[in-house]
Amino acid sequence: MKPTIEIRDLSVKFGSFTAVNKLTLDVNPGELFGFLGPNGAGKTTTIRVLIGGQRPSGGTVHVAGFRIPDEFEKAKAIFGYVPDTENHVEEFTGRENLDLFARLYNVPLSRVDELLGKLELSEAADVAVRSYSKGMRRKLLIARELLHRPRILYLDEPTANLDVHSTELVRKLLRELGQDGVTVFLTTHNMEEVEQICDRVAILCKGELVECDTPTNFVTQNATRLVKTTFERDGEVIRESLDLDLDDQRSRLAGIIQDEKCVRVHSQEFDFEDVFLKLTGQAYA
Amino acid sequence: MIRWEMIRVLLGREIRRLQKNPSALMLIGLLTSVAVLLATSKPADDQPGGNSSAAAAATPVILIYEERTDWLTYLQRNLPESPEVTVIPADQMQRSEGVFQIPQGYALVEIRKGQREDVNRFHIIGHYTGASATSLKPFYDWFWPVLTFYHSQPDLFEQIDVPLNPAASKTKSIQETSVAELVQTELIGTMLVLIVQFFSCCHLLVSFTSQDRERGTLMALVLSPAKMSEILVAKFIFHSALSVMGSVLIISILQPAALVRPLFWLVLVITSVGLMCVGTCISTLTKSQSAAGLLALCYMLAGAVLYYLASRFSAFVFLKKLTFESYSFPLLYATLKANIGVMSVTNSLGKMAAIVGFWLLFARHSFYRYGWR
Repeated sequence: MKPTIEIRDLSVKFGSFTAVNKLTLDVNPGELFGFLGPNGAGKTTTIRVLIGGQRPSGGTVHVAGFRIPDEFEKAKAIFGYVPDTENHVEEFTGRENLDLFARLYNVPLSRVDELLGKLELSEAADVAVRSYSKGMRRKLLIARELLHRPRILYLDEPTANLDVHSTELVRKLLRELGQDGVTVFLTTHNMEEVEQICDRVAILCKGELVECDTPTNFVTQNATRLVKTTFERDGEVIRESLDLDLDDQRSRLAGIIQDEKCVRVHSQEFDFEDVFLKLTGQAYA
Repeated sequence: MIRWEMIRVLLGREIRRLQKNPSALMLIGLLTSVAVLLATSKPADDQPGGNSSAAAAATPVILIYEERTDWLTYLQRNLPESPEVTVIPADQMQRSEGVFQIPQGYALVEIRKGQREDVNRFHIIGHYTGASATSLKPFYDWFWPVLTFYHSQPDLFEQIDVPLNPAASKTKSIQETSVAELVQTELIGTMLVLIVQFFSCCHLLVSFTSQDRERGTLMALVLSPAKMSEILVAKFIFHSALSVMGSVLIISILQPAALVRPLFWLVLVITSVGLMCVGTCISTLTKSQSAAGLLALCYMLAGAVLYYLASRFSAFVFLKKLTFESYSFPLLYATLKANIGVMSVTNSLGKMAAIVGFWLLFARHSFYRYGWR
């Protein structure tokens, strides 16, 4: 199966600063791909290269077989891009904004109503966008980029500024898109989001790829068998973390349960944030 | 290949955007009001088709000069049928107590070279009979357009009108003098049209395009099926239509006869395209809307400063000739003043179109390269 997005040795430099350094990455059709990294890691720059908005300093990028940016005009018909900042016509209403793009994409105006309903914006459809909340603007942006049913959807921080309900709505929508065969490439800082919806995750740091794997593999490779215990001795509360992979610490746990006045024993859950910090921290070190 | 369906959608966006920002049209309204005021303050004999103008057309003129120049030779070769113009060297004219003696019923126009620091300048001194300089109007209607076509620096010439016999002229106080008597309708018309063109084609385009870039809406449009060329063409059509509407409104009030002259339309369109190209370059090469707006105003001011410097120092004349405005101003002025054929101004039009062509290439390149990236 030919990847939808092929990035080979991609480098982007701004003067002496290297934003992306020899990045190589494949994203498969219908995959929900999470692109993680601390601020300034080069995530947005990579997306800007993918949409043709930034010329690479080196390497090649192919999107659906089209070389970017040379074949940008052909490629743009098949992707949608939700940027990290809203770019609506502020004076227009939500519906007018969508109508404009529906006409440009030559899709029926009924699609506008369908998406307004899907993203729960029908009630505010005829209000000027300048009166919208940040969350509403974000949802309108997603609606706009879904108008033409793109094969690839790039999203830069799609759930930033959304409330819990809207966040869940967008995640559900993204899962549905994935099921429909749409390739979703998203950047986010939200680890929970990555674990919940992404098929594969790449971690970028200082413009370089640190790790690329499935969330499940991240769990198996990085999960630790740690147990946290809390017990009382002579009126004093003592907390101990024990590694069950070590024989002496397994015996110590048995001793605590048997001999001490045990208050709490629980295993330490896998934490994506810890893994992320560990991996990016290594890159910074 | 431009898809007109796409242009129609993009034009609709620009129109709706203007509807939501009606304040952008205020300047055009203000300039039109000025035109209305000027038109209504015209004396009756200055109205288009007025009887006095026709009567004044018969006043023959004696044109005297101190020194023969190439442009004078050109003028002499292109003398009008009406009024009758007789060109005579000043030393062949009879004088009595320092006053030129001319036959009854004639007006006199003297070409005098400037002195000392004004050595490159020429004073066109009109000596009129009667109470006002109306009798010289038909002469000037011929003189200025012909001179403008031949001479690349018409601003080196200054028109001064004085009574032939000062005692016989009725002295008017400034309060009694109408605005239209103090200023030439054609000159004011030209300036108003150029201001409208600058505002709608350059300043408004800069403002809208920079706003699009700053907000990211230009990027959204570029990522839609609309091509860069279609976005640019839609912008150009919208702003040139706005400019033509404003200009036509003003000219229909001040000088409606000019509207049937093909040269007027040609100059209007070429100037609009030139200004839009300048606006596109400014908006694509600046980072914010405020910086772009400021730069557009600086461009206008720089033009005015360059004109002034060119009139004082010959070193700046070459620089001035590199601006298309240096051709559009006199051409527009001339088309408002008289009916001139396109063929007679081919040279000036060609140079102007070439400069605008250069701007067009530069604007296209900068918009494609930096417009949304």
